Amino acid sequence: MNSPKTILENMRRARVERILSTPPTGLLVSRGFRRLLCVLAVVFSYIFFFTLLIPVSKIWETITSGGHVVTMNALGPAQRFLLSVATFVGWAGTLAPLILLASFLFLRTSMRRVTSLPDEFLDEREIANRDWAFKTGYLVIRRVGFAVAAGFLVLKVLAFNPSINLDDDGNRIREGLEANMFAFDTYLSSLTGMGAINFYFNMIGLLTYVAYTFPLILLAWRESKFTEVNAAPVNLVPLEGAAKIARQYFRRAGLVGSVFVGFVLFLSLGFAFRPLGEFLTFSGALFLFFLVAVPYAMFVYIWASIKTVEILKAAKADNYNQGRYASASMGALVFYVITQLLGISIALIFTQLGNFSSADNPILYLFVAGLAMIPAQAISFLFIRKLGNGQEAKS
Amino acid sequence: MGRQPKQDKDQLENLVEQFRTKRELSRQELADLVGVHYQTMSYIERGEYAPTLALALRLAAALDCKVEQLFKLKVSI
Repeated sequence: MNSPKTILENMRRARVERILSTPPTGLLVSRGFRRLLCVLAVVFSYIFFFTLLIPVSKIWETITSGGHVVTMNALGPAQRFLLSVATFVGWAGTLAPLILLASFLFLRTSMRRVTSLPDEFLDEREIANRDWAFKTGYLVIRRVGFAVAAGFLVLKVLAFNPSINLDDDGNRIREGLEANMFAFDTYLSSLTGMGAINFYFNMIGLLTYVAYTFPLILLAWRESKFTEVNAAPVNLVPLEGAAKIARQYFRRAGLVGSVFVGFVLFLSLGFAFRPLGEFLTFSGALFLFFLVAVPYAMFVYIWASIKTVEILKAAKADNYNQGRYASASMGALVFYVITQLLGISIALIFTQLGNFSSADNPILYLFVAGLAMIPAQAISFLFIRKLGNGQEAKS
Repeated sequence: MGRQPKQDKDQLENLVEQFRTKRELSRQELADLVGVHYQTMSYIERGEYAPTLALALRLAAALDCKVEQLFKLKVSI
């Protein structure tokens, strides 16, 4: 039996082998795409941060006139403006985490060679750049964290007022700076109006995201300075790598599939045991599930789409679209197109959701089309695996 | 040497690209010869990265010349 040390060493070796055998190519190493991911991660971090600073519960109180539901016609201009702010916060608060997670996953894949391989597989410039990015990320986060803590300490000192003024009825009167500090404190308390755990989870989640992603952003930005290539294997997936990419796809798609199957089983348990069902429905567990699973599924889908295009290009360059492997090449292309058509139809319908009446609700179509995309893409990769195996046998 | 401060790499001028072209090597081929990533060759040739002494010696050996022919100080001491 292997010792724990050997098992860990084997796991490390398998990981290194996996990273080396499937290097990021094409779009994933292009300067524009890397920089777009960096910009998305930064911009949406700010958007998410600012949505957390808007006291939505106070806005709803104002719009609904203290809990009473009113019609749109009864709303004044100020209330309509607040309603649009609240709607924006709702959308941004839902979309921003999805975009943040997806951009992190792409950045991680794009930079994985440099961030995850041991030193002996990297050259001196890559090691220097990686160390610079992680050190700079640490220093910036340390300094920003210190500045925020120091800022709050100053506020705390300023707000502290040893002289307590009381009115005739014995109530405390807050004046001047103390009154301002008290108003600020009340504002901060109002941020947790939609649930303190929800607020702190979002805030701590965002901080963790920044700590994880900031060094990656620095590294990706610097590494994308010179990405021009003059060697085909780096720009284009060599066809013998297609089988490895297909295996990687099935591993990732298998993870997505098992998470969703597990979710259905978990949900079924909820129907069988009512308290569990209520917990799932009302605790936000479903939302958390989608927060993690959906961006990962999006990532696998987009990554697989990019790889398919690269592999089909390589197949064409190697004349694999003719002769013995023509059917495999055509099959991969046909199922790729089907997957993309389904994906585009979902995206188009999703943007028009508000225009459907409740009788024509397209949710069922979206669900079925989303499910159909999984086997369609998997079949495309079965053909790709055939192409890759053919090339491996040939070489 | 490792990663130099900006002023260090700015003090160096190099003729790696000229020697490489003379030897009819692509960046990828030279990178493979000296054991670095192809991108590192771009950084060195454009003066964005000053290599360590060991890498400079490997480059000189691969290009069949002396280190001082490949790299020079912009301002002599």
